[in-house]
Amino acid sequence: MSTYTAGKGIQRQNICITDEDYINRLVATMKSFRTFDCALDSFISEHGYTGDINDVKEKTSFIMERFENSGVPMEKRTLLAWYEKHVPAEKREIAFRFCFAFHLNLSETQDFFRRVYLQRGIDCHDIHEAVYYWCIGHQLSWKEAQAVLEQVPVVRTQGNVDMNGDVLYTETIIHELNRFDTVEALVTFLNENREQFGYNNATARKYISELWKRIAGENGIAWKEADLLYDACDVSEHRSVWDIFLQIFGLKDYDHDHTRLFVIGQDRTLQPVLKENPMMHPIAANAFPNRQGLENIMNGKYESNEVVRKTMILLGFYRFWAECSIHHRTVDYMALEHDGYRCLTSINRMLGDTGYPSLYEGNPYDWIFIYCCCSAYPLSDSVSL
Amino acid sequence: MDSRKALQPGCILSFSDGQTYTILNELARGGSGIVYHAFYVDNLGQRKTVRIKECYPFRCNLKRNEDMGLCVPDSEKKLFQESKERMIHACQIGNTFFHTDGLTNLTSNTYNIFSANNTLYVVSAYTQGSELSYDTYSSVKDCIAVVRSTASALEKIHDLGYLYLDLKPSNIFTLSGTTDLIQLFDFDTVIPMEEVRKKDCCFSFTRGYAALEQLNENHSLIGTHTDVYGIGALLYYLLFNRVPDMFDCECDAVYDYTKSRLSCSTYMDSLTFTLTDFFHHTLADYIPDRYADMHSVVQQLDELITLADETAMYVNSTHVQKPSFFIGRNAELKQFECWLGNEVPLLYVCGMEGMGKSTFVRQALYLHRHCIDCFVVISFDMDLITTINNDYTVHINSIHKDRSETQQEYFVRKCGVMRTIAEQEKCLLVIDDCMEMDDQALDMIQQCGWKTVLITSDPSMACEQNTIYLDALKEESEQIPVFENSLGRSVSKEEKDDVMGIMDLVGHNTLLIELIAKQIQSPLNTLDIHTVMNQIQENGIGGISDEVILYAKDETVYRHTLFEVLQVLFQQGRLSPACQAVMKALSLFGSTPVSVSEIRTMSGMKDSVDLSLLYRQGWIQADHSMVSLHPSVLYAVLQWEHSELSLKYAENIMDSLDTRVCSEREITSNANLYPHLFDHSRIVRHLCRDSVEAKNLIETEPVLQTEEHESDHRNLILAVAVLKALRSETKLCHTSMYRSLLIHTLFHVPFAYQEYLEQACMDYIRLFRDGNHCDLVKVYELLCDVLYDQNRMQDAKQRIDELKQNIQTDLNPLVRGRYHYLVAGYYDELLNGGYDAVSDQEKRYLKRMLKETDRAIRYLRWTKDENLLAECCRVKALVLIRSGTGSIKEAESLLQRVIGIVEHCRNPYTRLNWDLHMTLAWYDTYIRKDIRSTNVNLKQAYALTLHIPHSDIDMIEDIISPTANILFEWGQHREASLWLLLGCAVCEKHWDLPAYVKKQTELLSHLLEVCYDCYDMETCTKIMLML
Repeated sequence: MSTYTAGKGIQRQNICITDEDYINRLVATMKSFRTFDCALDSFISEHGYTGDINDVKEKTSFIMERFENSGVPMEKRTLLAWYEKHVPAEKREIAFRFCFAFHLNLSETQDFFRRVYLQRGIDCHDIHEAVYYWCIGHQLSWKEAQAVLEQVPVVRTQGNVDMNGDVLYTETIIHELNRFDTVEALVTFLNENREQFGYNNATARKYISELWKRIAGENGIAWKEADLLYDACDVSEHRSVWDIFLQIFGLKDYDHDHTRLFVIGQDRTLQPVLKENPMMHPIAANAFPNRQGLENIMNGKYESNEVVRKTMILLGFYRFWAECSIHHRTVDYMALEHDGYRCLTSINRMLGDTGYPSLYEGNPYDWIFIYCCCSAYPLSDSVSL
Repeated sequence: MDSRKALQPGCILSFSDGQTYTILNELARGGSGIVYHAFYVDNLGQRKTVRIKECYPFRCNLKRNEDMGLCVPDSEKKLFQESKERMIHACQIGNTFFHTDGLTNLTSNTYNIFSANNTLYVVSAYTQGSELSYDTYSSVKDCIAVVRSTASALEKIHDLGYLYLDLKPSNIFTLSGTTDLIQLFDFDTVIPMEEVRKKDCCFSFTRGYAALEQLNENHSLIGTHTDVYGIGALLYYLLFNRVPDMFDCECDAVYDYTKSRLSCSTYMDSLTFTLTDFFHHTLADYIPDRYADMHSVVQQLDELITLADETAMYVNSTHVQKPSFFIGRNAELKQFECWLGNEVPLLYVCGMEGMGKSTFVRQALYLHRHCIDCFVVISFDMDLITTINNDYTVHINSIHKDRSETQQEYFVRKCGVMRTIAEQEKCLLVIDDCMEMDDQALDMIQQCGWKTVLITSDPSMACEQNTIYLDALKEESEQIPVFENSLGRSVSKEEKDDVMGIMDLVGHNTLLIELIAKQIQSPLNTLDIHTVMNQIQENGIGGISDEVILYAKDETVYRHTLFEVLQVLFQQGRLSPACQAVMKALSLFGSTPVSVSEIRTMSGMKDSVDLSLLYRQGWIQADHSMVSLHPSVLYAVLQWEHSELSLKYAENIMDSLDTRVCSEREITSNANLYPHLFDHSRIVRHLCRDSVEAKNLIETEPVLQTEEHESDHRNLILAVAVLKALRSETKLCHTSMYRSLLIHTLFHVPFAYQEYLEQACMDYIRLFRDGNHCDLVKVYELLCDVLYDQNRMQDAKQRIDELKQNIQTDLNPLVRGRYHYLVAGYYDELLNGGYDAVSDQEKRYLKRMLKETDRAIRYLRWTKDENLLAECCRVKALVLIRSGTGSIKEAESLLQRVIGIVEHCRNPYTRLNWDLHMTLAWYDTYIRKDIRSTNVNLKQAYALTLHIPHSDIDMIEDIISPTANILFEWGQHREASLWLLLGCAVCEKHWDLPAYVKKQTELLSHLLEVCYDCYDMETCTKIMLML
């Protein structure tokens, strides 16, 4: 574990909701998450950079030299934009260039995506990334990888997935990719199965759909929790996704006279709440789980990896703790020993199964859930955050 | 995609052992190579079948040339070399396992390893059987049995210090005709435990059978529990025909057994419960939820095998041993024999403690053991249902209590199974140490068809017809052998009289006789029988020795001093039981003298004869009509065990004091007399020029002279003394009476007595933290109030955290509500009146306080405690009003709710009403901005205080200080000062109590602010000098 991640863990452990200045400390923690360029600093330090870490010129030269030596193209102004304007890097293509330039192996590549890019690892259900996966695994150069890419079809990954049809899961693709010894075999496979690369996140969709069924389905978790939360209040028979989302976020409540409290605007979006929340880091607020995203995922429509991952974490978290509340017949379930780690493990399992990196304390969104899992009242604390 | 080319049938391999092996066919292929079925011809000309594994890794790009050799390109040489080394390593490990006791039959027998065709070949014995698969077995029992065999093999591998880490059906070879033996092969992944955590350690695994820590390549978490997951996954696969997914690995996963093998047949319900539990403890992603070692897995699988047996049903029989010594009781044994032969289902065996009831029954069972198929001998535990439901003591193989069942449901189910068993076998149930019986449950037991013996020392439980009463052994011929048996030698003629003397002194109690004999027999003892008899006669039995001796009672061996034993069983001493009880009763008041009439009334003593006797004998001292125990006697008496009578006295005293404490009015501040305090106050004289003006400030109702509550003080003093004496009396301090007296005393002792309150609160927490949580929270509230008053915020926080731990599993919304109300109070204290929340810290406290109040309201909505709910609503309204946060509408709505509850209450003289008027005064000040209405509410609040019990400190905190604040807000500095002066005068009255001294300082500081604000510098100077 890096010093940075360990530091985040210590910060988390030191903040207790009963502390007098806990909100301040939470806000301070949120502000202390490192920017992309800082993460990159750690990365280059781990990969041979020994110069002054504050010298942008020196760092840029070091990175450019690595790129040039590996024959990987890179624009210097991109690096300068990161270092001087502290803009985050988003394009995955650039991340792959880094991996080739620094000769990372598969596990280092996955780690680079998780800790530096704060994104999912290689998505082998993307034909482009599948090629990179194979090439990095076989230690091919950037140039060789580009040559392979020229031989494979261009497929848009943002298609719909038909969960009722034959679905080729990423796990199977990886299994197949691992079997190929030659570029020819790889190219043949990709060409023959091109239609299977038109979608992604099949397992994640399956899991999210199952979780949502358990949450929102007939007599599901949300219904049982509503019985606890809203006393004798009338919860409508046909509950929309939005309505249940509000319940999950603790934004649905009734007063003692059974009138609704905290009614949010009619535009059915959480963005205003997120914007006003000083405890919400921009990275955490970005692609935050929302009604539209969830509906898209369940309908097999394309959603970004970030939305899928964050939705999975949110639903996994809510399911676990809401079930505890229901089981113990209390709205404010007080976590017992092991509960928190048990919940984190189950979320990590889900992320692992769906090809996403496990929860990382250096990621502000993940940190919130790790923090809540380890607090005394996980569900109500998550709501208060 | 696998382009590896296998050796063709008929192909011949010649190895360095001189043998030639002929390939018959390809058996299987894995990641590291291909396995063939082959044979060789031995020296007798017999064809011997073998298995040959060829090192031919999938990942290496190897082609086979025409003469069968493998071509290894340079690029693959390193990887291929590593594969060969791994194969050699696996072969060595396989050999190690094969030559390990217990693993020989569970691992394949590797003959040798050879080099040929540019690669390696491992030759091993061929066994009739096949790779394990879903279709290998059809019955659940066989599936579990084969998994059990696998787990057993893994357990042994673990014992050798290795982990297997790649358990899957294709690595398990099942042998034809048995499930008891399997053969593990492919030891490529086997790794020594100490190496697994090394960073560069590399191992393969199979998805679906690999634990989460393997999937995440988290080396530091890999251990024996990783193989435990594999076992769970294997059984899951064999039952469900698929590997477990994420949802199957959750800690509370629910399994649909209708989609498993179990749907095909009728299995007992406990099988599914236990299987679910097994999966929860093997497939759990969270490692601590899994069984830590394979031994536990094997044990659990053994139980599952039994449960999966569709035919057998039996109860575990108790082994009945002959008592080591038994004498006499011939008539009673005859009676037992008769009962066994008749149709009466129930037999009571009665007798006082130490008469040998259990030994008698054991002897009887031993004598008639051949007439009974099954004995179950158990001890009574809490109640009959719990006793029978204990699956450890009453173990029936086919039935186990599930967590989802209530005790009553399981009892009914278990009785049903017991009835079924009784149809086939003659069963006898013995329940020792029986206490109160539930008639309905007893009826159900009788209907089971089991002969049942109930052993009890309570004769009221038994009925004449079917009871054996065991009295003391009176015959010398029976008693002497009992003594001799424990003494370890014969008693001489000279000693006989002394022995009989001891017998008489101890009431012929068998156990006591044994104990005394053992004491004499002890090698450390220097006393002879005669001396012992004299000592018992003079000092009682406890005075003999304090040496620890071993003795058995109800088949349990104890180690105690004789004195301790006797304390438990009997009341001894030179005093009559009645006098002992009186002494015990008096000891409850400690050194506090109590009048003869008080102790008689409270304890319920018939007369004072015993008191007079004790006084005459010098046990107690008297001063006029007040009596107490001599201090030197007090300690000794406190060590005495309570008798029934002394307990009764103690209970009566507690009950009586409780009623007195409850029925008396609380100490009242005599607010009516406040105006007159101005005349006598030093501070008022010093700071206020016109005391008449001050006196006119407070309008009171016609002065009703409040009674002096001397009796309140007296009762509280006695209650405090009794509580102190009993706080370590385990028999009494845990009783509901003690609890009641303690809690009522706590809430009646004036708040200023903070030292006592803190100690008593701590006592309550120590004794009753597991009891009524509502009261517990109230006690913590009081304790925190004390700590707040002493500015010990850190201690208060610690206590709140402690409370949280104590109630964390309590689901009662009242408890939760009270808890959050308490936490809100904590933040209120931190806020310290700073509701306008200027600083960031104050803002945080305010927000937190509101949140906690919200939580309290949320819980209290579900309770019937309307007063507390109203109080929370009032607090929230007050905070909203004073802080200016939130909506006015919400504050008004909350106040309306409080008003509704107050109006609903018939009695207007409540604290809630009083507080409500003060809150409304704030509302009038900040929201309505109506001075007239403010004054009306302040006066009403004050008027209410004249009818509601309260202390002076309450008056200052809840009336005087807030009134001064409100008037200050209205700019009425003069009036505000006078109220604060009144507070100072009230404090002056209690100059000996630190709480009031502190309060007075606060009030003066406040007064300083007020005077400064109105430029009264002269008074400011005086106050500063005083401060």
